Formats: sequence, structure tokens, C-alpha cells
Amino acid sequence: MTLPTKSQTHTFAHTAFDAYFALNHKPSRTSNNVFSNLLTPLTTKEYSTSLASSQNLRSSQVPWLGSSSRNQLFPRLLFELDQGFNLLFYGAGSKRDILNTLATCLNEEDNDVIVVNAFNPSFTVKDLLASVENFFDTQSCPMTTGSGIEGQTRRILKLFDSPDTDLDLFLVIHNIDAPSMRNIRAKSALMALASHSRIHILASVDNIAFADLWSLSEIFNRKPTCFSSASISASTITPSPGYAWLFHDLTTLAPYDFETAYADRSSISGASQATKSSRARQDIPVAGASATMSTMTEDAARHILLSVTQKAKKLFVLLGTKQLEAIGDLEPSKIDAKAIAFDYSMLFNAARDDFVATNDTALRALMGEFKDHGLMVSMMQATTGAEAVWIPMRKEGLVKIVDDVRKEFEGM
Amino acid sequence: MEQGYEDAISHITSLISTYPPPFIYIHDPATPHLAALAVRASLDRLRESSDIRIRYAAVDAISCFNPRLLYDTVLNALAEWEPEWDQGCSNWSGPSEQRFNESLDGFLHGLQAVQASFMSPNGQIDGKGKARENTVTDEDIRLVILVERAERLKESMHDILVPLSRLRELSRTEVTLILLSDVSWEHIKPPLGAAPDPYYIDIGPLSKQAILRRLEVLFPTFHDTQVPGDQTYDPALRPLYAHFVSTLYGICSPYITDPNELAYIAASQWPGFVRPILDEHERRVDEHQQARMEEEDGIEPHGEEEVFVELRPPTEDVRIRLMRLFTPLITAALDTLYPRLSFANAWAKANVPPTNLLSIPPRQLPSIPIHKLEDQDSQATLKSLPRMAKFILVASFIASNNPAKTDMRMFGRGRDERKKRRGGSPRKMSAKSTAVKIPQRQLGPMAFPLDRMVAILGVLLEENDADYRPPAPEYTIPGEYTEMEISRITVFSQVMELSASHLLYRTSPHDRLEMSPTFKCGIGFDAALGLARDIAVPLHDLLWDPV
Repeated sequence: MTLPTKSQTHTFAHTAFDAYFALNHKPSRTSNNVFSNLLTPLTTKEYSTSLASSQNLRSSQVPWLGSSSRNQLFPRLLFELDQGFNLLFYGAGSKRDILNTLATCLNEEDNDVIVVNAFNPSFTVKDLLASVENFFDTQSCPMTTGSGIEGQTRRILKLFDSPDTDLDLFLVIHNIDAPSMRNIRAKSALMALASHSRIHILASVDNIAFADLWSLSEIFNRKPTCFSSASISASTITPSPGYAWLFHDLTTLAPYDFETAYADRSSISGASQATKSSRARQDIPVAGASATMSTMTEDAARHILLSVTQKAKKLFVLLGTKQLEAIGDLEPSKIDAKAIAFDYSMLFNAARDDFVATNDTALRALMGEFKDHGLMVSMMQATTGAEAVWIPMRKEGLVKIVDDVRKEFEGM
Repeated sequence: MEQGYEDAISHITSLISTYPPPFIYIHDPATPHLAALAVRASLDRLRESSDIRIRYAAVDAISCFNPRLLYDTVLNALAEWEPEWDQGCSNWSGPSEQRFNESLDGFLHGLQAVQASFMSPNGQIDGKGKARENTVTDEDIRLVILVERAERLKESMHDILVPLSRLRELSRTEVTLILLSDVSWEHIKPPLGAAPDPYYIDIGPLSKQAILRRLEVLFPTFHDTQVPGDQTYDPALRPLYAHFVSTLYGICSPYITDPNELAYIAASQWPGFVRPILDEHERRVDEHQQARMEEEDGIEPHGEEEVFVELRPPTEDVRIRLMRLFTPLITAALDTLYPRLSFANAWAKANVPPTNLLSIPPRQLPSIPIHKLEDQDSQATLKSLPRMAKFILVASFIASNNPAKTDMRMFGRGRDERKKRRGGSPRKMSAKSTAVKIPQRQLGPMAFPLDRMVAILGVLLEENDADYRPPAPEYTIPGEYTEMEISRITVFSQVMELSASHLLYRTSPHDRLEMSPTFKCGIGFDAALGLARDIAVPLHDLLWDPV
């Protein structure tokens, strides 16, 4: 919000909601001049070299980096955990280091700590529960069987409920707002664990909209106090399920290197979890989806082409040329799989004329190799129901590769 | 039970007792459940009468949603076998202890086994060759399967619909299938004509006479069922009840055709209707006793000699007066009780007419006050919400009902006053205005992004909440406190909480964690007005088209 100058202030200052109304008063038009059309993405080498030579990493001054401020912060956090709250850390920057330090600190005081990297795309709640189970060996618990999420949760809770033990579990969850933790089953399992007075959760969130994950009663509930076995029965507070969060601002401004290590650096659409590389490798994606063009980098394509036969290279050149012709005049923003995909039967005819493949089976065998590597993708066209094929690469990269391979042929 | 269905029932009984067609389809578009009851009653009657031997199975296609369930229910009913808990709820398995519910084939065998056991009731099966030598021949027995709500068969068992319609040929037994539904056979039948055409019986809607007769029959006849001393259902009032019911029918029949619903409304209205007459009667009894006491010079009458003053049915003009007084009450009851917004008992208790209504002279007769019962529970929940939640609900109500384009005009404040409020020169009305403008209230709430609602919330807080805030000298810029308030986590979590209690509806998908999910308001205008009064927000001024 801009502070108005003295001459401009009438009676009201321009607050955020005023700004909202002013901005939404007229319909906004987005430009077609997309950034991704102007530049190619960085290759991995370029990224790592520029990162290494960057000056800014060491110059940010935030607390929690020095040990003196940590010595002030950590006892307070431990006290809050002791009083029956779970801690939630928010703030810009990677909070992984400091949380790991906190975890080691807890561990040094003879507590059981489990650290969970939920930002890993292949992580599920089942892994978390399985690791808790293995840690405490819950197999000896009677009466609760079942290998699903509910069964595991019940077993863990039963273990902690028994009054003879004085186990205390500290769960450090990096990025509790990860997509794998957002679905209902994961949330209910986590809530059951978090409501238990012996289980303490320290979690970090990075999504701006993390406030939409939990409702008010879940945030503000209190755990049933469990200092002695006698107080369990005498407790007058009916426990309502929820996380008893205390929010702490832990801005570090540290780069998210570790968390985004799983992301594809060369993709224009970003390192967000939504563009999982596994999804891009689907053989038959939904016909209407505009899949990203850059799922295959030039280097990867070259690598693959090195290992295939001559005939397959010929097929690749054929399809590449046809695809470039189809792209030819289109604006970069309008290119999507539907527009440029090449009909399979037409490809077959062209391949036969070119002596690439004599029958359908041979052609499919050649294509099968490319499909396995993800260099060719086939899909069902929504309009005709026929199969169509295309190469998921950016136009510039495709042009270069097709030219190179063609030169190879002519040179031979 | 069979009032109004006499024709159809006599048709069916004559068919079944003589030569039943293999497949009968009864189509009743108006009240199929009553027709089903009538058919069942007639089948019962046929079973009691001794000239033919009939066994029937009446099943409901909704409760038998599986073929296996259908086979079991039908066979158990035809064999007159009740599965018992202690015997492990076993189904009828016939003399040869087979299972008949595995497949259609098993079902056909089951039908044959039932028929065979029917013919020789001592449990011995005679071989097929000897069947004709029995004294009980095939022509004397009838197995009838009645399937109500038959339109469900199309969804749950469409592949066995064809064999079911040909049951008699396939099983070679004397079975008749009767399907009863409010949908015609054309819509249910399997394609390509695989099923044979049924014998069609079409039942029309109940006539007025039939409905009135049904309602009159419901007047309780036994004195034991009444509360002693309560003369609401006195037999002397029966003719009045007949008149009452016909007036009620006149008022409600454009909206209700089901006699059961009419009976519900009648039952809720009758005690109130009859109250003035009973009051009058009590007054007369008191007067009579007074008169007797005066006669006997103050000697108290003996207990055993209490004179019984008869309850006289009212005269014609009294009846007409009562009817006129009660007609608006009946209309209000129709509005509330037919959609079951409240229930009969509560309504009757809330709307007791003033005592001694009849003794007030006609000119001064007031109209009877109608107490519409409102939903007390939801109002109490709304009142007990925290203050911020009330603000959020009012803001979301405004967001849902004001079009987005009017936001700047309603809530924009500050420098650009002139710019935003100008509307341009008056436009010429186009000669043909294509669309009819439907007011927003009738279209229902619109979906709004969360950002917009938070902005409106900010404006509401800024203008109406300033007096209730604790002093906060650290916020010097006007509007800063409100900005802090609306960017707290509790605002967003409160929104989540309200959507969990269905006061707000989330229209964007739940799994996605985005900055601005879309919501719809879930409270009505009256509730919103009540909330706005609680927090001192002038809601009327903020709505684009106020009611």
C-alpha cells in the first residue's frame, strides 16, 4: 500500500481493501507477451555455476542464524512444547536447517525425535506412520490390526495411551502443507497424532495460503493434560480433536535449495509440485491438457538419440520436421499438444514412403523406444478419437536437434 | 383402504381368480403407494377366501436392490417362511435343501419347488409325471409376485428384467408377475422388444369423493382411544368433521393430491377448530350446574347425580362462522406443514385459538392470530457466534448478493469519489430488450472469491467496529488496525470453520491450497439481518437491491 502524500490525503488513507476495489473496478487484460517465449530456460550447468558465483547468499541478516539468538529461542520453544502445544513455523526462507538444529537439540536431551521431509514428492503419510511404528515397535500391541492408515494410527495411539510408558515423541515435519499431507486421510491421521498429549509436532509451512488448511477449532483446541495417570480420568476438559498450534515467525531468507532439489530446474512452469515429472511421462495424457513443452531438454534428447538405431533416428527426424511445419506460424503461447500433434495413420504413411518401417508393428516398435524415454508422446484426439503423436520439446531445441541429426544423415 | 380404487381392484381380483395373464403392469401416476396398499389388501382377501389357493409375495424394488435379495424375499414369502435369528436366518431351502438365490436359474427352480410344496403340503414331492393324479390340480393354485416401485428395477436389475417378464414360461409354474409403478412401461421396458407386452391396467388419480371418504374414515371411532374427559373426537362431532374435511380439501387440493398429507394437516387443525365448540359446551355445562345450584338453594349437587349435558353438534351458521375464521389458519398450516418445516403437534400447540371464540358477538370477531413457528435452534447458533464470525457472515452475504461491478460504488471511498460514481450519459433503451432481468434474490447466492469478501469485511470493520476496539496507539495510519485485523490467520480459519458448519459453502475444490478459494453464502436474508443488527451494521444501505 502506498502512503499518500500530505496533499493527497483527504479523509481516508488507501488501505488494502480500497486497493482491491480500485484494481478490480476495471477488467484487467493480460498480455500475450509471455516471458517464456523470449528466453530458453537455464540448463543445469548454467544454473549451478551462476548459483555458486552469486554474492547474495551470505549477506542476509536475520536472527536465528547466530547461536546466541538460538539460545534464547530454543528454551522458549521447548517450554511451549512441554506445556502441551504444537509449534508451527512460518516465514520466508528455508526453515530446514534451523528445525534440524532444534531436532538435534531435542535429541541431545534424550528425547525420541523423528524428522520427516514432507516436501519430497513421493512422500506419503503412510511412510510417516510406518517410520513411527518401526521406531517404537508397535507390533506387540494387541487388538489393533490392519495395515491401512487408520490401523497404523490406532496402533500408535494405543501404544502411547498405555499409562506405564513415559514415551514422548517429537515429530519434526518439514512442510506440513505439502500436497501429500493435504488430503483428508492424511489430515485426520495427523490430527489424531497431534491431539495426543505425548506426541509433539513441530512443523513448518511455506505456502502463503496455509491458513486455509485448518479451521478455528482445530487451531485453538488444547490437548488433554497427561502428567500422571490419575489425571486422565479426572480431566474435566473434553478433548476435541485438533492441533494446538502456536505460530512462530521463523523468517530466515535462506534459499530453498534442498526442498526444490526434486524439481525439474529447466521447466519454465516452475519448481512447483504440480508439474511432477512422473505425470509428464504419462503415455496418454488427457487430450485437453496443455502439457508443458519443455519436459524434454535438448541434452536429454541428444543422449537418447545417441543410443537408438538409424531407422529410429530417421523416424524422429520425420516427425520432428512435420511437427515444426505445424508449429511454424503459430504464436508460441498458442502451441499446445492438441494443435501440433501429428495423426498416427498419416505418420505411418509417411514412414512407409520413406522406408523407415514396412508395417504397423515395426513402426510401433520404433516408437515404443522413444515412448519409454518420453521423447515421443501419443494421445487420443478428442475430436476424432484417432491416435496422434508429438514430441514434447521446445521449438528452438527441436529445431537444433532435427538439423543436427539431418546433417548426420547427409554427412554419411 | 381401497376407497377410490374399486374398479382397478375388482379388475385385478377377477383376473387373478380366473385366468391371470403372466405379466400385469399397473400404472398409477398419482399415488402409487396407496394403489400398492389396495392391491395388497385385495390379495389378502383373495387368500382368505377359499375357492382358489393363492400365495403372494409383495416386494419393494427399492429394498430389494440386488437380484439375490429379490429372489430370497420372493421365495420366502411364497413359501410362507420366516427366517429366524436363532436358526441363523436361513432362507427357505425347500425339501431338498437347495440354495435358490445364486442365480436366475436357481430362482426358477425355487419357484418350481414352491409350487410343488404348495400342491402337496405335507412336504412330499410327487414326481412330475404323477402331478396330474393329484386332487389339487395346477389350475387351482396361483402364485402372485407383486413388485412395487418397479421403476427401480431398470437401474438395479436391468439384465434380468426380460426373464422376469417371462417368468411363467421359464419356470413352467402358475406364477403371475405384477409390476406397479408411477412410470409407464414404455420407459422401463428393455429395448428391442425382448420382453412381452404386459396386461396394462391404468389407474387414474383419486376422485374428490374418494379422498373425502378416506379422510372421513380416519375419524377415530373407539372411545377407548380418547383421553377421558377430552371430547375432541366425540361421535357427535362427526358430521362437523365431514364438513371440515371438505372445506380443507377445497383449500388445499390445488397443491396436495395425496390423502395422507391432507389427513396430516386435518389432524393438526382439528383440535384447534373444535376448541371453540368445546368451550361453548363447557360454558353451557357450567351454566346448567349454576342453574341447578340456584334451584336447590345452594345445596351442592350430589356426585352421582351429575347431569350429563349432551354435546350438541353446532348449527349451520355457527359452522359457517367457524369456517370463515379458520380458513386463513388452514392456509398458513399448509405453508408450514406440507413442506414439514414444523410438525403437527408443535403447530397445534402454538396456534390454540382464543377461548370462548363463539361467545364473542360476530361484529367484533377478531381474526385468529397465526403463530408461524420459526427454527429456534439455528437462530440460537447464529447468535452465539463470535463477533468476527458475524462480521464475516454479513460480509459474505453482501458479497453473494451484490454484483461484483457495484463494489466500487458501494464501498469505494477516498480520492476517486467523482471518478467512480459517474455512470456516463443516459443510454437509450434498446428497442428489444432481450433478457428479462431477474432480481438477484431469486437467483440465489453468487460465488465470490475470498479476496473480495475479505475486502468487504475490511470496509465493514473500518466503518462499524471502531468504537469497540481497545486503544492501540501504535497504529497511527488510519486503517492500519483494520488491515492488521483482516490479515490475521484467525480470519481465514474462521472462514474454514464456518464452511465446516455449512454457513458458507466452498465452491472451489477442497484439495487445492490456493490464495483465493471461492465461496457462497449459506444464510438467508432474515438471518443476515439479525446478525447485522447484533453487530450494528446497516445492512439495508449496503445491499445493491434491497428487499
